[in-house]
Amino acid sequence: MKITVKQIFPGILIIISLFFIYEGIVNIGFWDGDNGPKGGFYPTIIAVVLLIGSIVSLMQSLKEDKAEFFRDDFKVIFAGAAIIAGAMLIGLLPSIAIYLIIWMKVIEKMSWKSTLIFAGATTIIVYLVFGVWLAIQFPMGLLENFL
Amino acid sequence: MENIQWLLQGFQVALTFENIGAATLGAILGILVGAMPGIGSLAGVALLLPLTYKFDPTTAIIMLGALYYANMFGGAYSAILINIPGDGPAVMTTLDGYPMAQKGRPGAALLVANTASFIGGLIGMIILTFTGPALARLGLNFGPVEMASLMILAMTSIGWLMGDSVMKGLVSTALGIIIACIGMDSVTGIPRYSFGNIYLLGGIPFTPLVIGMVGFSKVIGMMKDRNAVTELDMKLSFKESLLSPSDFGRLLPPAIRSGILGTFIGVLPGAGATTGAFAGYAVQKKFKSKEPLGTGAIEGLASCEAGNNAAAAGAFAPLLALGIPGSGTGAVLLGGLMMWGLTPGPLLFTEQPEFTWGLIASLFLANGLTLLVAICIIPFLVKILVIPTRLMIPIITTVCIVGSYSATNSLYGVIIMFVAGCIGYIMNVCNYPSAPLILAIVLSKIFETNLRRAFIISGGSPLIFFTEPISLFFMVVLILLIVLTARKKVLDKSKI
Repeated sequence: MKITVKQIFPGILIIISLFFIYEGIVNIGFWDGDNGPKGGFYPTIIAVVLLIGSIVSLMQSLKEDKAEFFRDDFKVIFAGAAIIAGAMLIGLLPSIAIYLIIWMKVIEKMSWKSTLIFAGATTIIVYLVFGVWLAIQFPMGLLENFL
Repeated sequence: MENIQWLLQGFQVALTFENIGAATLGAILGILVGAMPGIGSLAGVALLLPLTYKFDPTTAIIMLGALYYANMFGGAYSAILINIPGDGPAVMTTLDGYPMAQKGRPGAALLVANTASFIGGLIGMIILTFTGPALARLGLNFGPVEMASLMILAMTSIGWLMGDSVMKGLVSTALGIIIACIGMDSVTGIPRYSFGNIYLLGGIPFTPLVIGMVGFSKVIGMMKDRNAVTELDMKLSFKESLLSPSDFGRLLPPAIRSGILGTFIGVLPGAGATTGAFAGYAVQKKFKSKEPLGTGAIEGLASCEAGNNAAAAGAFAPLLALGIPGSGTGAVLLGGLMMWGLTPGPLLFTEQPEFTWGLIASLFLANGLTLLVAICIIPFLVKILVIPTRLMIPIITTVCIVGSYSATNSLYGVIIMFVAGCIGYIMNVCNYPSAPLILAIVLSKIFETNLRRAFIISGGSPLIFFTEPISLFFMVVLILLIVLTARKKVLDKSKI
């Protein structure tokens, strides 16, 4: 039998719930005889519910069809990760502008003219709404050291 | 009479230049995002949440209310013009809205939907004005035991029982609570599950999490439809959209009936706008319509649109008076209200009346403004609805990233959004609903505080939930809900 994400996801949740139960009981504390519930009380109870739910979901998933992923979906995930990495290096706004250019040119295969108009307009609107109107200070990444 | 005086004071708060401007902006953006097929009100409100940071708390909350309400209006547009419901409640709108548009009256169908939404919403708000404070007075009798059992009931009815799989809804709810536990113990302030990380110590920030969970996850899933082209071969003009007196006479009775019914449905936890639309339409079947329902009848379209907007307005009563949202979108709204220092619950009406009545008055304002904006936007709808998905993907990705950054002023928010988006995407693929997770995150802290206090009172005995009369009532309702849902699922399975 092939293990798919439908089994991996509840599997990870089982590990997370076991961790929460262990931390809740052993390190944070579950119950104090005089003062009642401690910080670990509530998360431990909920983690037990999560554990039971995840085990049942795991068993139910064996009867379900395989989860359907589309290869193109990962392009958005990769782009998101690249923007975050880019923001640390060259700042958020420049990495968004570069993302828009690469996306429209490489993925959507738009003409250079349309790509530049789209990327330029979107970046300017983002700057005006968030940078000017909402007065958000965008991170400049490592560029800040040189400017 | 006291309620009307408070409402008039609320209008004094709401009717300032800045507040009207914020409500109009909320109405325009809410309607535009609601109209775009595939985004939906949950992601729409989450994506637009960072825009409220510009304003002071009262104005921000007024804008949030307008955003939420206008999203409900916008959901009907794609249902009527291209037979694709913008959100859950608009599913019923397609039944008569699309056939009416196909009969050559698309503009009139849009105006019927908007007018019925306005009437339904207005009825809902009038009832909210009177029932909200009464519900809050009832809530004042609630101690930790009653509040904890009410929270269990709310999370159960909205979380597990509404979706296709009870177990997946339960897992989603529990995961949401677990995420909300990261940071500091809400009762003692002691760090827990933070791994000594200074960012995690402050907990998982709500706005980036919601933007990721419902916005970024959605944009990842949009890739498979990115080459889909929406064909819309029709022209809309304001003149052709006008309703005749006969049209208005046909829409008014069902709109009033569904408005009243939808409001009471909206007050029930778990029975949101979708149920309001469904019930309004089902009741209309028992009344006479000029044309058969399902063939483009004005009565059918008006009944479901009025029902869903009335339910959206009615849901504000438990949300404000008890802190119980009726849906995922309501949970995002509640999270937004809490972010602005408003703690919905029984004390809200007495401790923060300016805020509360300002918000209720702003809903009246938003209802009227949204109708105006909706009428003005009709000629441009064809252009809005045919925006290709391949353009929306980079735009929404950008909004997700910049919005989550602006919520925390740190790349930490963007990372949280990204991780939440990936988890939300996997949950979507594996059919785990995300709305219960958001609801659980919002309610978790209040639930924990009340649950722990209840256990302190009882000396650790869970029996207290069955010995206090109000709590016992909630527990009986809870058990009945679980039994009836389990029975329905068994019956549905045996039919297959």
